[in-house]
Amino acid sequence: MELLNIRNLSIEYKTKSGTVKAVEDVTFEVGEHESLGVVGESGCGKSTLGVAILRLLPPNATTKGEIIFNGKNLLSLTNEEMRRMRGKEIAMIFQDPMTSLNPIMRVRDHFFELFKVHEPSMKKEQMIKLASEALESVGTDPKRLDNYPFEFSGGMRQRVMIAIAIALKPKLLIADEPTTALDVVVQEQIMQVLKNLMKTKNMSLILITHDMGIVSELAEKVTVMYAGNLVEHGEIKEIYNEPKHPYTKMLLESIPNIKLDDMELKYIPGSPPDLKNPPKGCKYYPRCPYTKEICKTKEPKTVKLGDRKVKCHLYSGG
Amino acid sequence: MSSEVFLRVDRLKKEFSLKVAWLEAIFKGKKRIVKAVDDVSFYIKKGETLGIVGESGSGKTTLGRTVIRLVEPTSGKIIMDGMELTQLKGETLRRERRNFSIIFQDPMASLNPYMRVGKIVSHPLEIHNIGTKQERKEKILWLFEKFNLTPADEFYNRFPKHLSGGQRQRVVIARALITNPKFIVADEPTAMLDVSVRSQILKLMIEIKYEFKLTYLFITHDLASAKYICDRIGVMYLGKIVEIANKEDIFKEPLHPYTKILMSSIPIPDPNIKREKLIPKGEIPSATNIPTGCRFHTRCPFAKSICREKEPELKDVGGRLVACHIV
Amino acid sequence: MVENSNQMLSSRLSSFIREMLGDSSGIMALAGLTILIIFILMALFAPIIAPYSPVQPSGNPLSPPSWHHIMGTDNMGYDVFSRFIYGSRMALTIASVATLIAAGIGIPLGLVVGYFGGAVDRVITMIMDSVYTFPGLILAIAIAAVLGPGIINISLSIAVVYIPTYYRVIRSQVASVKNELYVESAYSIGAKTSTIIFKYILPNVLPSIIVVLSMNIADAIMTEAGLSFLGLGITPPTPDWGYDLANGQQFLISNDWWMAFFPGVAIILIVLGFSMFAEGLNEYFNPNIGEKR
Repeated sequence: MELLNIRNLSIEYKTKSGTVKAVEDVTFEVGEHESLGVVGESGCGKSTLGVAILRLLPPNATTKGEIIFNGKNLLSLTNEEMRRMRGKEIAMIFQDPMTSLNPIMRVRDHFFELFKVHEPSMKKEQMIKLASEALESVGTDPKRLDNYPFEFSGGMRQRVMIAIAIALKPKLLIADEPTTALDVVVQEQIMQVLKNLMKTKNMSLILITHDMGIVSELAEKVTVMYAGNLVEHGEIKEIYNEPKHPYTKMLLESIPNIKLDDMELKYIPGSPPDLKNPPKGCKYYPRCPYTKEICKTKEPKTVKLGDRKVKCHLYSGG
Repeated sequence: MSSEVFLRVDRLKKEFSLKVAWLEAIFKGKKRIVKAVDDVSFYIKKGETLGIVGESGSGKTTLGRTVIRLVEPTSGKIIMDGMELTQLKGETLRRERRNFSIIFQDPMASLNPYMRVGKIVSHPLEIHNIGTKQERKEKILWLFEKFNLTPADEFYNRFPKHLSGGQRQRVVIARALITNPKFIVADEPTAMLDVSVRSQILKLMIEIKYEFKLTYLFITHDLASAKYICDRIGVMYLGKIVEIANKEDIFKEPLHPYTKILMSSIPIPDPNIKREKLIPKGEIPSATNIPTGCRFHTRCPFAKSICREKEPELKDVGGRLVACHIV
Repeated sequence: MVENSNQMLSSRLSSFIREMLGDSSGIMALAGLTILIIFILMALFAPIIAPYSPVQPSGNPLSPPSWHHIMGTDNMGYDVFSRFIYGSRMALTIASVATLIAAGIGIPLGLVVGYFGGAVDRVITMIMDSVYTFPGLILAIAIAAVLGPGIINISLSIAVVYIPTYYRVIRSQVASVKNELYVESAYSIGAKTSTIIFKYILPNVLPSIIVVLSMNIADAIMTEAGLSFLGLGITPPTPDWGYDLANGQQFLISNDWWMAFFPGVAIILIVLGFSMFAEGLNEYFNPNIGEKR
């Protein structure tokens, strides 16, 4: 059974200057013990997607569709039921480890806070034991439970954030750009931590990032988002070896590599559309080299090609 | 590329003294010194691009700023195009600034939010009294066309907040280029941009390098971007250059353990490749407290006892310079 | 060319008004502005609006409000309404002159000291802080007592009180703005220090000045009224709300309330106007203050 089923999810923000269609009719699933990468340029709706699963969107957002987690539709839960989900069943880590921790609370108190919310009857010894285990599993000395956040470097803080997130053994971890604020070397260390966690804990991962490199090292499946739409979804190897959607293809080509015999700098011309006023038809057509007449007028349907989903007229027979 | 040396930096040092609480000052009796750039020497040939690669905290940003005297060096010499930059003062230095410029990492923060884009780019010309008002405007519009900031006359009157990240960085590059300088320091010019825009900016920088016969000092933490634009690469760690060599040598066979680690940390977007990764211990130490001996030994997977005791000098290894006891 | 710039100004103005009306802070600023405009018009057209001369008896002393004297007359037989109207001139003149002097000294000082920092900074900041900690009205009284009455003297004694306000706001703003990357960029293209200060730093600290400015005028009006109330202000019978208030309160005991009531209302209204305007502007320029999250 799938752990998470997202069905026809649409999210709109009402703003002064118009309605922003941040996510449009997105459907995908995440299996148990599976890791999924969500990639796209900034402003493609990938972060909104992550926050929406936890139902932490700002009040001006309206959500349509279904988010079925472990058989329950999260969108129909009461606020109280949803609150009990967060941190226990589904946990999230963010880009900036500097601002995600309360500077006047010791690391142990961050753990205790979480435990008290979800397991009020837990004894102190038990809490310390769980917190120590969590810290060890991210490669941090449990002695540092008594330290304050400022005593940690950026990479160490992100480790602590991950430890707090996994302390209650959630079934799903959502990581929104977990390494973007970090240096390459530290990024590599954090990726190792996540890799180890995937191996040892029974947990699924949604990794939201703009970096295809990170996705291909960590994820088994990948969802490519463009202008709020899911444009391609499938196994990472298949997508890498044979990208179907022109956007996926160009995104892959535009990543700088370290092969000395490949010196050509490729990029996607133009920029993503304004989501208040997106182009008609396929949202990608203004930047796409394969644009046909139909792309400008008709929105493509999502088609299944084996295990893969693609939203493009090249494959929908149109 | 000629073999003429354009810029020579000789034993450059930059130390900052940190403010210390008075209690600490009394009890410990000394100021805390940050050695951001610690005895760095290198040269750049005319028309060449030297990359400086390192983590944050390696001192690479301070190095870039010190080279063009945005930050006063503590000691050392900077000789640019035959002129000793470190000797210049006040008004002479100010006038000389038309010949070199800098591109910062954050394009929004480097543009005055209350100035129109046209004015931002024409300001260097006004400051140095270059051209008439009409000539300035023509040159800027021409540059905007070239930089794909079109319609150019519309961009001329916009404010920075109405531009996208990539457009802002192109404005910053236009400002850096408008006085026809010979040398540009680029301090992580693509780090804050989206992946797809990153390549556009890199490509633009490569194009103008040839067209305007520029020499670059390209500072980055990203070896992958450095590959496209640099001719030689210096790897910096805690204020020192630990390896400096041709790009090809660095990529084919990194010698210093730190360079090896940097190379293996670059995520490769190819799920078919499974690499053996080289992961260092811990994180970069504070520059107030530089380890004795080789400053990398605390994290080095190959450290031996000599590394803790003696600081390695840069030595010639087959035409390239490496500071490591093991190599 | 002229037409073009006019067009730009009017279109900018209308978009400004549209933005101001967009949320509650805009309404507050607009309400404040309306009060202010009424008072300014009153001051400008005082001779047309006022039914009588403010410095000549126009009826029986101490007559209550009636159709002839809608705010009654005072103990000298002067029309209270006419003095109400003319009083706005004094209040606005002194408050604006005082504020201009304070801003004219405080802003450049804050700019230069904030930019250069160092030992001069420490000395001047210490002086400014000691003036700032001194109770404003008492300081103004002391200076006014030394200088004697007169518009310029009163303005000066009020100005001294407010110089530190500008100095402190500007200096702290400059100290943070000067570390911005665009200032370093200006330095890197070879801009002169004066260019950096006036073209790169000043425009970026200006919005906070405008807010302080309008808040300060409100304060200055209060101080001016206070000085006149204590007899250190303008020589009677020049119409002045503070003086009228002081004069009128003696007669409260005999139930002749109108003499103190109307100047009091005038002071409250104009101060309220400036404060609302300032508060609204503040939220307009720093929209994050009121925001939760």
